[in-house]
Amino acid sequence: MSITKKRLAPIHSSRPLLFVLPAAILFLIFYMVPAFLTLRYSLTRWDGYSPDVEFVGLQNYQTLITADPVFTSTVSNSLRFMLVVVVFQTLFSLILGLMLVRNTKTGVALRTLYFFPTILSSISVGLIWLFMYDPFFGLINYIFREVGLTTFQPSWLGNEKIALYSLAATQVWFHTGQMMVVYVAGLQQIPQELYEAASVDGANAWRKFVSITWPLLLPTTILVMAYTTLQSFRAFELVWSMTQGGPGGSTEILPTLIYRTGMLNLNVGLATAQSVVFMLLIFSVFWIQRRAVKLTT
Amino acid sequence: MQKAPALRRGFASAKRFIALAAASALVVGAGATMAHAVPSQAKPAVPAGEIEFWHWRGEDKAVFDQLIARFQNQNPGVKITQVITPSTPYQANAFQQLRNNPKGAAFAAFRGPQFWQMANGGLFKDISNEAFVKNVNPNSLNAGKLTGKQYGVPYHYLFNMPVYNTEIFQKVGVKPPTNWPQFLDMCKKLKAAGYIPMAWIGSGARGQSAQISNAILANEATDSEIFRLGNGQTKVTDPWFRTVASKYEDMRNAGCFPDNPLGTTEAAANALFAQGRAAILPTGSFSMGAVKALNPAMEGKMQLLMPISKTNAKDAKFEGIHNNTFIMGINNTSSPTQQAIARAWIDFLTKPINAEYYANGTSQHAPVNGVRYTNPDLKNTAEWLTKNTKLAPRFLILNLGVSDEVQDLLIGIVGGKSADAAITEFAPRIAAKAWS
Repeated sequence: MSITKKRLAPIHSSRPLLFVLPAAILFLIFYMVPAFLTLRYSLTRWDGYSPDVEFVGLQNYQTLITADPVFTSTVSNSLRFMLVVVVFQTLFSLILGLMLVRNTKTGVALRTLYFFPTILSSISVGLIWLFMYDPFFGLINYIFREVGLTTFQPSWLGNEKIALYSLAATQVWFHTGQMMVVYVAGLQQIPQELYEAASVDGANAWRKFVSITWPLLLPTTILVMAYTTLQSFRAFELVWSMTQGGPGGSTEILPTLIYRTGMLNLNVGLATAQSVVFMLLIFSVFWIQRRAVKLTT
Repeated sequence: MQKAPALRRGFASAKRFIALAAASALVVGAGATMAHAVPSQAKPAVPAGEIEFWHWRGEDKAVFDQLIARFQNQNPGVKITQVITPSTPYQANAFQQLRNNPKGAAFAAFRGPQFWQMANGGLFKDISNEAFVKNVNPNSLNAGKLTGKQYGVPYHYLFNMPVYNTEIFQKVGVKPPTNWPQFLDMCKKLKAAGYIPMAWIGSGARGQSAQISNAILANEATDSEIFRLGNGQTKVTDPWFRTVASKYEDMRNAGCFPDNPLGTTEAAANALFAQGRAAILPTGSFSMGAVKALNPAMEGKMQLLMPISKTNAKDAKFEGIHNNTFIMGINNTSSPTQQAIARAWIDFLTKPINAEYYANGTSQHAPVNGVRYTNPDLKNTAEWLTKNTKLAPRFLILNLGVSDEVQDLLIGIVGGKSADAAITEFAPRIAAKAWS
């Protein structure tokens, strides 16, 4: 038998580039051009509608860093919100994933139940929890009253000290089910033989988790943390539908501040500068996360 | 310090102007009365076409639907669709959306920053010479004016004053207060009787929280002092503002606000008042419709009261607060045909018979000449139309960033901060938002 060899196109051919071109064009139009325009407008003073666009150099950045206490407190809020959500959402989704990894009927049913909030819209979730937290008609304070805690009636969204964490709890409830599914997929990839071998060696459940599950789940954890970080930074609808950044700016996060600055106050120059800082903040958080994971491994 | 958006006027091109003039000629006096009042063939025709009517009053949809049906009946080939957005996103987005949507030829704006932004941005067409402008009470027209030109006509004559439950007041034996000590005493008596004195809205949009500030500002500050907060020429550290802030402290200490006030949403506050758990809803006459929707038995049991912030009532300059809002205008970016339909629609709405239908159907007083009120709540509160009321002063702060921070300061006092602490905390935030 003779074997016919087909000649492959030389590696330096420009043909493969043609396949990349459509995606590259879309990326250029919808990502690179807006990003460039954002950078450009961040150096201007512009109200968003008039033809007068005044170039002000780095003045918007200088204002943000040195003379805008609202921006400083908002960055702090965004980071605290992100941190709480990432920690608890990752932890709860991992626990749920470990509990529901087996494909039993109960496991599948519970996974569906926990996943359910994810399919709701953010506004719906915001309205549901706005009602849950209501000091007069809300379910949470009602339960406290019913069990005899009549004096423990926190103002979940009205107290500046806890409002941000009440929102974070809602965000965790909203997306834990989604991350649980990612963990279940990750857990099901771990070969059973490793656990069997560990059992033969006399390892207990904790030892198996520390020595097998956790190291092999690290790539999944990185994915979960990265996605959760992005989600928490973008929780605009949830915050807007529940508190609009109040009370006293205690739940203002960067997306709501950017919206307020650009759309309500018509200060597009400053809003785009806030967006650029926001983008840098997200990059920094990702970089720190990756460094932390590398050090851990 | 931020810079005020540059003033800008919308100029129609010559071509557009000619087309518009031709279209205008077609619609002079058109379609303005109800079908049964004037035979349709007697009027110049409104050009056929379709436009959108943009506003934020979801509770008025059914009444507007009826009016639109009548208007369309009188003007075959014309179609108007309501585009309704809740008030907060409307304030945030309507301007930009309407600039890019010529179909939204007729729209409404809030008095204050939104009207100012829209008129400045050239969205409103100049309607100074339109005949329908004369249908509206001249005193109310100022709300739709900028630099001497008429850009819009207000359709609401509201009272931004606390609404109270007359039955509860009677039961507890309190009367509407006429000075500040009486007001604080009223709160104490209502609370002692087991009622929430004021179902104040402390959560969500700042607009409703801020309504009561109108009453305090009216008798404690001049228009100039309030207006200049926006550009930093007056400050929250000034004595007049400290007095305003101290009134909030007084109200909090007298127990006027609910427990957990900053967690009280608008829906909860309306429900507390409609259920008779709260004696006062400190928003305005515009809330009466929503309250009656929750509890129809409240019809005829609501009245208005003014928190006079002076110890001696004689020192108060104003007896109440009113506002001219829902400022209707024509979109400058629409085509001549669309503008002609919008013009005819606003003309139709400002006819007494239609304004009357709207006012009585929605429990809103309308600043249209010759309107008669049959709605019991409008009749009950009509006495305020002749009192010495002040145009709601909080809308004088055109800088929304400053306005929000000022309200956050006052909300913080209700939440438990001392007036001095709140002023110290918010003064630098407000300075950072002031226009240069």
